[in-house]
Amino acid sequence: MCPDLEILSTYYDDEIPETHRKEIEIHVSSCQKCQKILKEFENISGFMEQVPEPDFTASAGNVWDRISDSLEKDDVRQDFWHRKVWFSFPAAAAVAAVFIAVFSISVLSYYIGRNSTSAPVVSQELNLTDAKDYSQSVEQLFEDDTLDFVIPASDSFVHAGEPLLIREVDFKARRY
Amino acid sequence: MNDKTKERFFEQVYKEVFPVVMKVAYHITKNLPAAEDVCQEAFIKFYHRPMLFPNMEEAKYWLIRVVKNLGFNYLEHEKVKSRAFDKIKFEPSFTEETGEKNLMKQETVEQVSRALEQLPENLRAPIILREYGGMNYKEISKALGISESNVKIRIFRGREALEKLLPRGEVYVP
Repeated sequence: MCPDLEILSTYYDDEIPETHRKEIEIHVSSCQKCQKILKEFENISGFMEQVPEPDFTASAGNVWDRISDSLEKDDVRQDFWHRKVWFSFPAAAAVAAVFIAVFSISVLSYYIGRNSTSAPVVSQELNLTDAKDYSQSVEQLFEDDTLDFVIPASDSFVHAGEPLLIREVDFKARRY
Repeated sequence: MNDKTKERFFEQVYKEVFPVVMKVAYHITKNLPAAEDVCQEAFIKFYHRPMLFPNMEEAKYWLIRVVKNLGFNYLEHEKVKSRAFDKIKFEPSFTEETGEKNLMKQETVEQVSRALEQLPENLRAPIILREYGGMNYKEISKALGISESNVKIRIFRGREALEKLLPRGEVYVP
């Protein structure tokens, strides 16, 4: 039985594994039909071979010159516009570390500064230095029937301590 | 890899790969200046490629693939251009020879060109790499990024199509 045309094409290209090649070779040598098909493949190759090729050695030189010209031009442009700045990794890491340190110090000092500059809520009469004492003081205050509230001398009014104080006052006041 | 080694590798690849790449480009575009342009573009792309190639073979397959794509792009452009200028056929720029025998040869060349032109790109590329590039199935499969069995099928289909397009049983002029 004749092999597939595709197999013959592969055989023609010498791409059949060794074990099968012998088999096909033996068949082809005695089969005129297959011989004819192989002849046709040869015919195609022959036709294609007829297409002349110019000498590419001149092209090799031309194209090389054009490539190097073009790459040189790119290099010049790169020198001018995109000068590469090379950092070694430790240098880059050091720059990053310094930046982070400066940044965090400035942020921290801002918050610390805010905490320390805003005055604690202190009334001379009530001595409200801390919330526990302060609730007692309010009770005392109402017993005495006098309320003397001193607005803290602070530039930032809404501060962590203040709402607590206001809430406390409000609560006690409503109770009575 | 520093610039010096990169340049040396580039030069090495150029020397080794240019002939086959140029051949492929020429047989796709059928035009010498166009083939040169295609090769130039491919090698510049190759130079600027950030990833390095493990060896010469990989570089070669990559370049052949790029040249193939650029070549077919060029043909596509030419087709549009020739349509725009109402040009019927793109004349291949072969060196003209005289004499009756050469006239016959010229005719054969045109027959082959026309036949190849009618093949779709996916059949034409493997046939060109096989017949003109002298590459085996494995190399073609790597260059085109398809399986070897696919190469086998495409080459066979290409031959089948060419057989119908080329004069049958006619012995070519040796």
